Amino acid sequence: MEAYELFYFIEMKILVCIKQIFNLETDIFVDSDSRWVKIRPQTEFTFNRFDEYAVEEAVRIKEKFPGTTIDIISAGPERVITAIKRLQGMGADHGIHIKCDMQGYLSPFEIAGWIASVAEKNQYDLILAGVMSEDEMQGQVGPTLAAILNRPCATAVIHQKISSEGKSVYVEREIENGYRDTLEIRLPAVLTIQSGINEPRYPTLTHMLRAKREQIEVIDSEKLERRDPRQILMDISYPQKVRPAIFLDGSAQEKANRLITILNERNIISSS
Amino acid sequence: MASSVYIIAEHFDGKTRPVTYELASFGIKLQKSLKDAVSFLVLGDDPEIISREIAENTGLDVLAFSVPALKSYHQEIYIRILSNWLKENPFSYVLTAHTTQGMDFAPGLSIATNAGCITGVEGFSEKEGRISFQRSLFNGKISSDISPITERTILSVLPGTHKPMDFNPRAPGKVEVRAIDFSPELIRNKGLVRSRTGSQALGEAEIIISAGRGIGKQENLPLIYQLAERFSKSAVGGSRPLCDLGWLGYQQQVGVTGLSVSPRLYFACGISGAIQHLSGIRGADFIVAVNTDPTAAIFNMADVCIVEDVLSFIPVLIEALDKAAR
Repeated sequence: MEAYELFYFIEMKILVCIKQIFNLETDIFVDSDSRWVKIRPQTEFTFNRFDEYAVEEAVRIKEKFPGTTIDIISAGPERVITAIKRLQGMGADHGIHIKCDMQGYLSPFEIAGWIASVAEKNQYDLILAGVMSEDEMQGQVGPTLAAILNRPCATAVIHQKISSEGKSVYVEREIENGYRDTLEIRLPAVLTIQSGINEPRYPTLTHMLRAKREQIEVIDSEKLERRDPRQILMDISYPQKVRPAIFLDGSAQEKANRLITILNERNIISSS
Repeated sequence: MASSVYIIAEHFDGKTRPVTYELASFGIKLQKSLKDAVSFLVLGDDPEIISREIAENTGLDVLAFSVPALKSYHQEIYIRILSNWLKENPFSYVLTAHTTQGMDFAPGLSIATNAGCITGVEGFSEKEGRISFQRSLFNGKISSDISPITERTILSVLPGTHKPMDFNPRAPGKVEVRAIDFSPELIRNKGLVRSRTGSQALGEAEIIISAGRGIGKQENLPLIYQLAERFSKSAVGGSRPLCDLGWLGYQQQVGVTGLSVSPRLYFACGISGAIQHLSGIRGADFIVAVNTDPTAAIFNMADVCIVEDVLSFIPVLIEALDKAAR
């Protein structure tokens, strides 16, 4: 009886770190001073796809352990609230916005530092994040946050299961060549979630309406402990071509014929 | 006291991973700018054979930590042992591979050693005495130069960006093995499991036709297979998002967490060219890319670039191929 109750009353406090990004399938320009990128004003913003898997994983834990609460946190300007609320609509409880109006490159160390200050206060059992952001692909905020908080961490998690006592989490990490590394990690811990771990649900209307009504907690980044960056962005540029490429022109038909000639010349295909 | 560059060897199942020698090349190039000593650190439960091999091949000194608990890579052990060593031994840079190992411990190691951390590094340059590291942003459409402003930095170097050089060592490097007993407290390793099989098909194919999100719908996949049928010794691969959607199996994934391939022809259909993907195709002899977006990063890596919608272009190409074969 006691064991049963122990299982049932596990209430996890989960934090999911998310990032708003702009649609990458768009024109991206180097700003005139080469310090950051410029996009067209009508470019749409969305959320980092990897973080959606992290939110879904949190919601699944909540379904298994009722009483679990999920906070979603994001750092950035006012507009990131849209991304917080959209992902909250999948079934998270609260949104936290670390407000910072700085433009340009912000190092993962600074962002992880801000989140750590908030997380320290709230005592989460589990912190989840996407394995990386689609736009910068540094993969650093999750493991850096874990190290600042002095908590164990696993990256590229493709399967997780909280133990029945709620004291540890069994984790499978996706590694190279078709292997998984399996680990038992003591909670509280930080996991970064690899894409493909689940099928993220669409937000429900009820949850979206609740997220819309819900007051997002806004924290001014300047009020948080400041950690000086350890690296700076010097400049950005358009990448150089790795190979001397040729662009084919003409109609689709002409391009196809030209390509076949090229493949023939290279003996990749042979025609009579 | 002089500072050092330390390279962390990556090994798996008793074998040195090729990226370890790419790191050695990167380290030696970096040394020319820095004049710091470059040496290897190797961790494992029985690291001596690997250490000797690295010392012989590169001529660089190797310090190996022999830890009985290290049956395979373990984040907590790596960070603890490396940070203990690095706290006593001044370093300018630590080089790790931008793999699921390096990406797992590099950020934590940087916090434990009060260092900066730059991941996914493709190269470096020196301007007015200042070293900055190149890495890609925004699906490879932009390249950035990031410069450390601390004395110490942990780097993870993208595999495939530095061909191993001809080391031609005059003599093998010195090897020292130290036994360390450390039992992890927070993370318990429960071993490796195989998650997928059959990736040989892709690894052995001479021609790979690969699909990306540009194909739009799962119903359009047969078009890719039809194109593949026109080539002998061909296989169909794809980018990670397609595998995540379940349209392709993970054994078909090309890129950092999938397979690195080196076919005679890599034909990228509707692939934007995220750096994780590009890293896996650097070894291809010849790359053809079809994409509607003329600024897609895949075109920076391709030999032949075709700005067309794959869905309308492939049928035209298939017809032309069939006609040419008749």
